[in-house]
Amino acid sequence: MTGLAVDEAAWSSAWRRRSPEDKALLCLGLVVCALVLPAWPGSVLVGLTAVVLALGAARVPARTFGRAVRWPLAFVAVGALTAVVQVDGGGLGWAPDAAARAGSLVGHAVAGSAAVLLLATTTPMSDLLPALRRLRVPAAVVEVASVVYRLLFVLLESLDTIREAQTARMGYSSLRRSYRSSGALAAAVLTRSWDRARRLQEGLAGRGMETGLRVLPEVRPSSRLFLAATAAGIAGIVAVSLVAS
Amino acid sequence: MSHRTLSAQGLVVGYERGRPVLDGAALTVPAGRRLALLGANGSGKTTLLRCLSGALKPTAGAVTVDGVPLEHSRRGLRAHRQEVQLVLQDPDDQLFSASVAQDVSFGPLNLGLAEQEVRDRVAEALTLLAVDSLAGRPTHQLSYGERKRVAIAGAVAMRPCVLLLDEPTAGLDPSAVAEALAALARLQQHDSTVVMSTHDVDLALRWADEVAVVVDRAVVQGAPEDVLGDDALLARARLGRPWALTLGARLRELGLLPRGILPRDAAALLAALPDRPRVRT
Repeated sequence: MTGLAVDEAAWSSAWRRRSPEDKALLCLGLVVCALVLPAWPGSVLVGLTAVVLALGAARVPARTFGRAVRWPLAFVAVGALTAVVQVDGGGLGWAPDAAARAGSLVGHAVAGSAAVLLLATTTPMSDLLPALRRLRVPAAVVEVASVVYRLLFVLLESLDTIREAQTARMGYSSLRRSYRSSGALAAAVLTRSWDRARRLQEGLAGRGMETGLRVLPEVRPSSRLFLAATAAGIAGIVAVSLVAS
Repeated sequence: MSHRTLSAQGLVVGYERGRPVLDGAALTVPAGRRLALLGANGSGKTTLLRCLSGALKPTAGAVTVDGVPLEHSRRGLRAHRQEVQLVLQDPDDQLFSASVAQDVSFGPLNLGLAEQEVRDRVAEALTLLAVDSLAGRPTHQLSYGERKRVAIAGAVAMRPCVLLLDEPTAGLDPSAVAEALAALARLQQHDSTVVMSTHDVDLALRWADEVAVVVDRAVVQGAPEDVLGDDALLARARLGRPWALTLGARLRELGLLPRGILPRDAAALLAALPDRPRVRT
């Protein structure tokens, strides 16, 4: 699963202990470059930088990065197709500047996605959520994200276990049985998640929860060297793009 | 932390198929002692623990700490939770945060402590439960045994006087059980009174200073050798007699063990046996 691949990569990344704000600044800079600069060479440079940083400095496994990027790529491909195909009186056909439009769209989108994935594959949620809180994202939103993130793994485990038990008892041996088993699976996970939420509420109340889910964030000091390298790298991409275009 | 005496008198709680789960149950958790709460599945152990922790309000009866009754108001519960902490059987019912250290910090922060004090308590609780090496790990990547110990650390970080553990050894392999028991021993040395629910009579005999059996919607409490040696009570409670008592009694009949309290585990039994068997002629 892509979500789990990203999570595993983030927890084992060499950039795991870097300040999330530093990484967010780098990735935001790359995303802005990907969107604002011309696709050639701007987006290409942004995409290459993001991939090289992820696979090189941050030591994200190439396979994991590939698994994480495949769904965004599929969306980009579908989006690009709808942008270059036109329907008129003569039926279905290519738009006049199809190649240029597709290239630009794909370039911007892939580069932007790679930059976002650089942040996602190097920053675990335990760092991202406190950073969001510091950026004044409403506490309720951060708390919901925190509980969803935790329960996601518990419910995925339930889902896998129930599905395995159904499969062992021939629950997916025909299309009709598959429909029935899938429905039962969804119902079981729904009731379990409801029950789990009730018990979690009780468990948290026992630990004194009255106003919200406050936890102590880990200290991740900012690196001046990293920030300077970020500024230099972004400036370099902008300069090369403007000169070359 | 200091030792407090937690008691319950005349508890009537919950209704299942028209009958209360507990009906007039009474229990005293002696300060500084280890109490094992025994009972078959569905006997009401968890219900009793939830009552003692304040999570469940009894229909009748009272829970007291050093004689002061628990009030089910926001203020009363807040005060009670600083004294008494319950660790649920399934650790996933307690662990909500992305990382271990963050999850353990949740309770101390709710007590309104300063950041450094919270960090100190988190470090202390993780060390006591021997999970300090997991501090930066994501909770969903831990094993079941590790998650159980982290859940206990979350409660320990609040420095309760009485710690209630609902089946802390259920679902653990023997080495994880040994680690959990070692952690409980450290907790007791750290001035916590520990109550553990279980249906493992052998574990209760070797671990507890006192045992309480939930049977027929009431509680029978006493010394481990007395309660766990009462075959009629154990039959009513759908529990078995501990092997150490059965074997010890037989060895005594054979003249291999001296009179007095029977050994509670294999090591004590082996130590009590004579070096050479006396051969009768």
